[in-house]
Amino acid sequence: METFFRLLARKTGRLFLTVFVISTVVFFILRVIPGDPAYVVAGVDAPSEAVEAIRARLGTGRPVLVQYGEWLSGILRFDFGSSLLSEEKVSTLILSRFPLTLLLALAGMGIAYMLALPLGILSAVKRWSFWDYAGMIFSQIGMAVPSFWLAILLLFVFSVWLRIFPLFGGDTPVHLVLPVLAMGINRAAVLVRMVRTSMSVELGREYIITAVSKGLPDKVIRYRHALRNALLPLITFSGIQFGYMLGGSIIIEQVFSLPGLGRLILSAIYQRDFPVIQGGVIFVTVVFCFVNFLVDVLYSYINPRIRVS
Amino acid sequence: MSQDVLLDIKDLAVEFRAHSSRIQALRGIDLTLLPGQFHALVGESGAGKTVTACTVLRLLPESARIVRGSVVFQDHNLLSMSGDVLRNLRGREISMIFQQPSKYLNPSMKASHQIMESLRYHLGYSDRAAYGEARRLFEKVGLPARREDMARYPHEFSGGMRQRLMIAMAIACTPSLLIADEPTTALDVGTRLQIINLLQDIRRASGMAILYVTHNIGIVKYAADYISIIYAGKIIESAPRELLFSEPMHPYTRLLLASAPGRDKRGARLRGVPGSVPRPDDIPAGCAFHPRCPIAQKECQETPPPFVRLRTPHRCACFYPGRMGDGPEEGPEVFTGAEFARPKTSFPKTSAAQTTKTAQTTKTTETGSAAFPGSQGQPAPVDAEPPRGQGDVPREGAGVRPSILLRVENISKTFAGSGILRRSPVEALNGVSFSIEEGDIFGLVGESGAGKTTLARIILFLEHPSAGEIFFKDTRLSSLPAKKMREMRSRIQIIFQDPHSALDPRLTIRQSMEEGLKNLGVPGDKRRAQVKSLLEQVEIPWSQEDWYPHEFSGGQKQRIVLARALSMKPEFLVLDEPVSSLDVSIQAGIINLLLDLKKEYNLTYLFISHDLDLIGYLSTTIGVLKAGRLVETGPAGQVLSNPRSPCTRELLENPLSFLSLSETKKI
Repeated sequence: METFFRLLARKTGRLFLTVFVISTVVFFILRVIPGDPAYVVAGVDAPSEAVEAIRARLGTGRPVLVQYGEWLSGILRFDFGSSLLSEEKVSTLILSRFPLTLLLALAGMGIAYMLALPLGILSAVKRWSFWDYAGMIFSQIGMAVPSFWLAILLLFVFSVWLRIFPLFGGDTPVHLVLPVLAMGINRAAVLVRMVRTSMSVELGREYIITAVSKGLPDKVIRYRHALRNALLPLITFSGIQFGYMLGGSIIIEQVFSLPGLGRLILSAIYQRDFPVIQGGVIFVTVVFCFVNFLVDVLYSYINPRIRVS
Repeated sequence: MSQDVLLDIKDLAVEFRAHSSRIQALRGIDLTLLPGQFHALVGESGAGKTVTACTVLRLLPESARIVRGSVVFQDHNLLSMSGDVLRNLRGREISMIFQQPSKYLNPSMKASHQIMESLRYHLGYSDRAAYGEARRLFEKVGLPARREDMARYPHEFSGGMRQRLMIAMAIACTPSLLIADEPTTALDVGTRLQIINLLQDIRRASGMAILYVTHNIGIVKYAADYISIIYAGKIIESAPRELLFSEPMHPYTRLLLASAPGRDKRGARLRGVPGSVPRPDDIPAGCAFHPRCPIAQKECQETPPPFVRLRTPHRCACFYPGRMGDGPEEGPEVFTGAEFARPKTSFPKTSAAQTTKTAQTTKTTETGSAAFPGSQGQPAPVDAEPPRGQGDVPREGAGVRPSILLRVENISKTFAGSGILRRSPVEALNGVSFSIEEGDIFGLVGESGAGKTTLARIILFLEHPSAGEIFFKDTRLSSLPAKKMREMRSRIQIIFQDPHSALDPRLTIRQSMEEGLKNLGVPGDKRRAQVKSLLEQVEIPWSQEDWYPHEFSGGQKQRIVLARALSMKPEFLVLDEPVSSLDVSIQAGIINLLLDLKKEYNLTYLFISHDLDLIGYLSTTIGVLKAGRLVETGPAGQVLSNPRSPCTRELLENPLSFLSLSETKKI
């Protein structure tokens, strides 16, 4: 167990390092982007004294390194400053918008795995059968179609034509069905292939021959032996999937007008609202890193080859 | 069918479809196994051993097709049986164990569960009862059976223990037949013996029969009741053990037995089998062995010889059974001079010289007197001690000590633990010292993990020792400046076990060979000439210079690697298990070549192997490495006949070595 804690400590160290590097990159990239936030606040035609005054208030005129130091210490206190426009605290803004995005991402992943697992396993077990081809065609189309296009298509069919689901907004669970589907189907297309490959690889391994030679029923061989091992790499992949989900939600929220974190960041970018962009990106980064950290730890716990008791 | 036959394979033919071609893996196998019998199926790689084993349980891949034949087990035809009946038989009546338990065990399932499974499915045990039985099986196969041991995963066991685990799994339902597909090939000699003894104990206690697939003649000689020899998808000879070893009938069997290097053959040239095993997609017509057979006749090229009973129960597929002698090819060729100068001790003289009692020199009726090059004018076999005394006189008598080429002083190597989580340092070598005289063959023997390869890497300065020094001709290697070191590198060359990974797959063999010469600054036309003469020397036809490595067989690749090493004009060659990955019949040719080259180029060898038979056959000096320490060094004769260390004695007395001392005494 001691070694497990060591692993935990090492992974935590790496987590902090990653966050530090990303926060630095984010900070300096934003400084390099053309566009002065003071002008955004004051308006392009504002007199130079007014702009100066705003600059002083925002603190954007001070030396970059000073700002950088403040930024880093702010992160540790979960304080990203205030929005330049609404003057609300960035942390409050993020926390109010994040639950919706998280819900979208998790539900999307749920849909993705629910679709991909059975289809992928079926494809691997009955290779070159109807189901295999069906799965592969689904995957091919799903990967070729961008998620925003699928989203628009879903809206068109289910909201405009059939009028089953509402068109915009995010107040009730019903509002989330189409966005979740749009995200889930897109990811499932990639996952199906992974499940199929992973499962086929395991079914081709030598220990399967042993299981057959023991006279075990096919079901036991497939699910108790092959599937267990086939799922291991998929666990690692699920962390990265989650990242895709967070990234994808920016577009999907836009299409469905959902007030999530993605939309918050996107509009902040348009408005050069530096603190919101910085805070939003860092927050997403931390969440992504943390999820992958959890997946890593979970994986090393589940996989007996890595786990050392 | 007679009631006391357990497994009866008749005329079994299996082919594989690959792309558009068909590969004949089995071309008519006949094999009969009695209850409780230890039946060894012996053959070289690609002969069809494993395919035969897998066909019995119908474990063949989808690309395989059973062309004809029958496999009858206890009156059930296994080939026509329905899936359900077959499943019920697998694991319950017939079990199987495999060569690499690390791959054939489910990595993510606890050891105990893998055993309990069959008990539950076949015998309807409850979880509790199955667990109890699994514990009993753990104890039976000699595994620790505490709760935490049983909850371990396969990777937490050592290689030998994993094989024990496989055996426990296989015997869980007390089957009447166990098929063992090279179960000990990947194990050390010591562990190998333990596993075979375990199998024998189980067999004697339960009356289970074993079909043991192997290429190792030592094992067969030690354990088998009955032996079938397979060649190119056909059984060519089968007989009870004693009969097969005393009167081998098929030329292939004879050559195979003669080509195994043994300590008793020191000084004599190994026989070897000319040519190489035919590829399964290109099997010669007639008798598949005829291109390699010294006594092949016209009819051998045209008609496949039937597998007939010579006398009960000896069967053989040859038109001229027992007609070939087993002496060496061109006469009692022996090494003289420096080669085997020092060991004065005599070695157990044995059955290599079992002489021509079966190789009758009778004139055959149909084919005439000149027909049997093997039987006519067959030179006397080497039974006398080879005249190795000649070399002794000038050396020891005149007191001229040969100069020391390589001196290893107090070498230690500690690795800072590997793996993500384990950081405890590993001690690979501990204070190893020895020296190799010019012209010596220093045989370094030891089990896997003893530090042999680490030592080789240190001598080649691919690895830095934690302590100690290496001197090459009195030059301390660690003090050499980088430029001198590069020069030195060409003087010391290494040959690895796997010739395949030693050759760049995208370079033709000529390109591979010219590369090093280019670095030495040899001009283009000279390079070509050198490559040509070297390839000729290792018996690779010059017309194949533009071939790629994959177009050659394993033995040929090892020859090419050898030629490449020689092109650097080395003085010293480190040979790290150079023949271990090759078939027995090919090994002899490479070993003979090595000895020839040594003489011609005046080389010094460090020959590393786990195989004491081989080391004992060709070394002048032997060093025994055990867990990083050199437990014994000395002149080969002394080490072999009068070992001081118990480790050496253990190796020498292992009954699995083809001709161990203990075995020799019995014969």
